[in-house]
Amino acid sequence: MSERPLLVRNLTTTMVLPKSIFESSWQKARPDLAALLADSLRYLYLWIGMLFAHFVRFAMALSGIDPDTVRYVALMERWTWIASFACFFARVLIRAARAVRRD
Amino acid sequence: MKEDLDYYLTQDHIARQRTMVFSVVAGALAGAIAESAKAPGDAALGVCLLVVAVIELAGAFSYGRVRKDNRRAAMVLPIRRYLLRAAVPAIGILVLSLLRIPNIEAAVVNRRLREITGEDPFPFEKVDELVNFAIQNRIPIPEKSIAAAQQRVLAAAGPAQSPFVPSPASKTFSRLQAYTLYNVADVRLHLSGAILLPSRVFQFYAPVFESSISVVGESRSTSIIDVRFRRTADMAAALDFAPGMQSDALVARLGATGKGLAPAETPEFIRRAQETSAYNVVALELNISNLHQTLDGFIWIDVAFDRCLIAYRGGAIHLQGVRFLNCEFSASDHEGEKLMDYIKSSGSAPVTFIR
Repeated sequence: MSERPLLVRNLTTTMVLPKSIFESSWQKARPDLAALLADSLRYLYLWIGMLFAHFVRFAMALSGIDPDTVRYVALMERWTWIASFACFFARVLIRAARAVRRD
Repeated sequence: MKEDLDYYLTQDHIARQRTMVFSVVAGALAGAIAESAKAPGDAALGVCLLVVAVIELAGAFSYGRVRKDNRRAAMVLPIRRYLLRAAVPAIGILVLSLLRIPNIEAAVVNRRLREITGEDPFPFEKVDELVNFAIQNRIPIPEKSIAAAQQRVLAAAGPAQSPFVPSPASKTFSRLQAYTLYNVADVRLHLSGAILLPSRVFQFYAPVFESSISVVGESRSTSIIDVRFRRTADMAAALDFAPGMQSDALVARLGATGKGLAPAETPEFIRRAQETSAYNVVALELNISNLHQTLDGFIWIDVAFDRCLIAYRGGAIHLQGVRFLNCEFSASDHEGEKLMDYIKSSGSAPVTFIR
């Protein structure tokens, strides 16, 4: 009676280590936070443009020109400001709605 | 669909940026156009918010037509340089919002004053608020704008019903007067209202007892108070500010004369009760002739006394550009006599003395 070698399956398995709650939370929140940060930078770029327009009005007023003559710049400046905040909060609401649906 | 939305919200920065620029530009244009079209403030704001919300929702929920292969946009991670650049406008906006820039404030208030004084019917309350705001915040308004506003107020006030019944315009007019005074002499007044005297002669056969009401003529040479009564203990002055004052008072731009009376019999032009010392009474741009007058306790600015009997009792005195022509003087103490001597030595030149 011949001896038969035992069959040994040479498998490599990965041991899954438990993650801490902070790590899992960070991994979950990271894309949202990164997107929020990227969006915020876009808003700041937009506000740089508005600041430039504001400086132009400021310089004109300092030189004695009635700001009324550039009232359309002031008008667009104000409404761009309002619209940018509206856009920000609209997006926050969309994100919140999506998060609620996801959970 | 849900995966598309997640991808849009967290990964595709380029698509979100495109939507943001589109929604902000469209929202700002919508709001500006609505405001230019004289829509109410709430309606313009509503239009702006609606446009932004619709574009943002459409951008988010219509996303997903991008092929899977194209969804490999690299995540743009912020680096420090971007943060520094972002901090500059934030700090700039903060500093600008904290700065007070008088030239800009003055130009804005001046334009606003011109706009609202051109409205029909005349918005007295708005003008009151604006001028009060300028006084409280020390915002300089050009003199000619104030003068133009006063003319419009007088035109809107209509003819006076009675020389001593305040018209609806009197409060506004007194505020403008208070502003003029603040501008001219740095005297800040809180005036409750003014009686506007048209340009004619008003004969006084008895004193006018007032508490706080200001009296303003059209001009010092055309609005004349002709005092016709003799001085007695009960009738000591033509204008007598009685106890119970609730605010400052102004007597401005008019003439007063007691020419029908003997010099010794003339009453005082203006008098105030001792109890009213908490408030200012200002005499501005007056011609006073042939009357008694005690100088203490009043602020005299650009006033001319002609053939008057001037007294000083040693109280607080404020003379600014005041002329004394052919007047007689009396004082109650040595200090007062020195002051009277100083005034006499000035001759007909304007005297400025504040103590």
